[in-house]
Amino acid sequence: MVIAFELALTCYFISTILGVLELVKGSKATSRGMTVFAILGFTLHTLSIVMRFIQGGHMPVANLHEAASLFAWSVVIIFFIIEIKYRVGLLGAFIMPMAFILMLSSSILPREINPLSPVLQNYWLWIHTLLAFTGDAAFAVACGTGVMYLIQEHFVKAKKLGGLFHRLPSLRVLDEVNYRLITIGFPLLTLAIISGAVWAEGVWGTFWRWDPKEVWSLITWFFYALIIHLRITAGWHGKRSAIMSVAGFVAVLFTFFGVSILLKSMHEFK
Amino acid sequence: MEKPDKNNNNIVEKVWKFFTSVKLAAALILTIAITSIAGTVIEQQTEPAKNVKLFVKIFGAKLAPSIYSASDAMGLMDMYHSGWFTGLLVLFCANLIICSIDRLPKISRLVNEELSPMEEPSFKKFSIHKEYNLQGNIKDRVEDILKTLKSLGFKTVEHKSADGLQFYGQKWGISRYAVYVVHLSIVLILLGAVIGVKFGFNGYLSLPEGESSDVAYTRDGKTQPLGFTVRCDDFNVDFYNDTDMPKEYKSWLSIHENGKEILSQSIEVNRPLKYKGYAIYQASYGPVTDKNALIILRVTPSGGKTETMSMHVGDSFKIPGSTIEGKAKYFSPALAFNKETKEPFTYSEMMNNPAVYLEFKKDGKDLYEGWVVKRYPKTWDMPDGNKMELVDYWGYQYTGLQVRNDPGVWIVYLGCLTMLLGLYGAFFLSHRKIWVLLKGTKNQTTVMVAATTNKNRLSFEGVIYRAFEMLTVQR
Repeated sequence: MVIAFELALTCYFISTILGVLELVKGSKATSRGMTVFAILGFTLHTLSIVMRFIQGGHMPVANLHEAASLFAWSVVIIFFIIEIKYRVGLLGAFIMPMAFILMLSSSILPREINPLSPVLQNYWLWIHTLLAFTGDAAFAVACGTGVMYLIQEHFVKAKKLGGLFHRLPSLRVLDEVNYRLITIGFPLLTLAIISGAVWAEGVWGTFWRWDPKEVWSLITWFFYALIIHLRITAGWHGKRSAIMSVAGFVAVLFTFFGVSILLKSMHEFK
Repeated sequence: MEKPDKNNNNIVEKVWKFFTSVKLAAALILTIAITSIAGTVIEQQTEPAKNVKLFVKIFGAKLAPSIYSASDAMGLMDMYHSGWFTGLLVLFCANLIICSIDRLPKISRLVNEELSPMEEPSFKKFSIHKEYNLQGNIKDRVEDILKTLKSLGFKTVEHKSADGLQFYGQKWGISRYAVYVVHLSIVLILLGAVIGVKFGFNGYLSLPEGESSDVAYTRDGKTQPLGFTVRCDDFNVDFYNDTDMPKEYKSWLSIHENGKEILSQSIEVNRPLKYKGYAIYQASYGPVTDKNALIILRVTPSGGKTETMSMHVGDSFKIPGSTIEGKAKYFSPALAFNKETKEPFTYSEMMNNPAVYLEFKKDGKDLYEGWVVKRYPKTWDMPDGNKMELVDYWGYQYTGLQVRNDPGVWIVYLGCLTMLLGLYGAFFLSHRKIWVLLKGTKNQTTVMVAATTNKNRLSFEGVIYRAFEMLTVQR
């Protein structure tokens, strides 16, 4: 189990290095190598999660180590889906480092398998977490395309139409994929919040308690709702939308890690 | 929106305009989001001491008291229930409703608009447009093209003109309403929540084992009659292996009306009891300070039948079918032994490791004595083959119940469902239109395709190009 995790981490690392190399000096070889190691890492990662599931007897999201690992896993799977559907060149070079950093932070967190408290012993656990994690992952990849947009835009503005400019996707494609990811992440986040509310209603008799985790999810939800509305009604396309999607992801990260670490919440990994 | 009479309805118009503006929506969303943060840092509905400490930490001892009282006056200690926060939500609702009403007529026009055929030059003005050359003349290929259009989900209209043969159609126009369905759902959810707060009840009830109550209590100490009686028949906690991590806790409750037992049911954390609109949840548990509880022992004499006995601490009992007399000398809710001195001690008031110290005599002579520990079956066997199982210390624990009655919850759920439907329509369906113009020679057909969509252009483009590409490959 530990070995599968460690090997996955290594694969993500190699994939990240190759991705960065591809940015600096694009070639077919680095691009293919990056994909191969991403797929290999993802397979091993899946294996380690499944083994931990079997060993612990529950969805492995019971502590920050497991949560960060599952987050990284979700980011990679969303990346694969977008890659298959839209073939956005160089996306991996921006997403794999993100997956690697998440995986790295997971690797340094305490790894013991905790028993589940009665509140968490419920099928809602995997429904709620999978929805939340894939939603957050879509926002992560949206942030990645946002960053790509800003870089490409910089090239266009500076009229530096060199190598990287030609290998990066066009501004229009980046903008559309960015928005598409937000419109995938937003319903998933909504489903995650609703499933959490239904679960809480069953456990505590209240679907909403203004707990910091709930409030921060709602803040994130509002923020993405704002991005969508500004885009449609006020024409916040392109650069503004890209910046907003990066900012939105900061809110996601705070809701994910910040609330658990800094604030007092009933939404515990126990 | 109908145009209000300019002279009379100037103010109405202004207010209406104010509520339809996107700026207001954006400002409200941002304000709600940003002010919400305060309530996640300041602990809500808690004893003042906790937050005073927090304020001292942030602002220093000098400033803290005045900042605290100012924040308290602003309702920040229970901000989500404060007047101004509720006011923000009401404004938000008004904004949602008025925005939606204002835009509906325009949307309805877009949805119901009939498509018309296009002139050839117009085809190239669309962002999705392409030309394909197919083998075979129009007569041969028109079937394939109609099939392709059908597989794309379009019911098309035929039009013949000097330019050639034209087919056009649209689908999912109705998805343009989806965003307003989402707006409506938010209003529904908030409405349900308001009904729950106004007409519902949220309270708690602590019941020691064996006791009953016909009222529950609110947070601020008010009493709510339930209209029936709840009794806690028993309560039990199980732990993971030999840890103090609770695995499961359970109450056995019964409902009584007019002295008659109506139903009896066990409840767990995820499984409440529901009766007469109330839901009773397992929330917490703890020890009762009054310790006049009953030790429940399951006694199995060697070779004999099991019998359940109950006694207080200090009471004596006989092992059935023998002259051996037992005595329950001490009870510990959480027994542990000092590692060095091996002295027994109680490490918690909670029933984490309940144990009873039994002493046995025969004809006045000491036989054996020792601890019987509930969680360790090894300790149940006596040296002479008799078995003593500690079942419970009944009456020592209370069960903490949450009692709720929320008539608004179904409206909230309906709102959630509506929201999901709306989001699906808003993000995954789009109003799509397509035009196809066919021009032919003897053995070739030129197909011009033009299409638009109000959302997800990239994926629609891909779908169309792939479908028509297929036609060129065939044959």
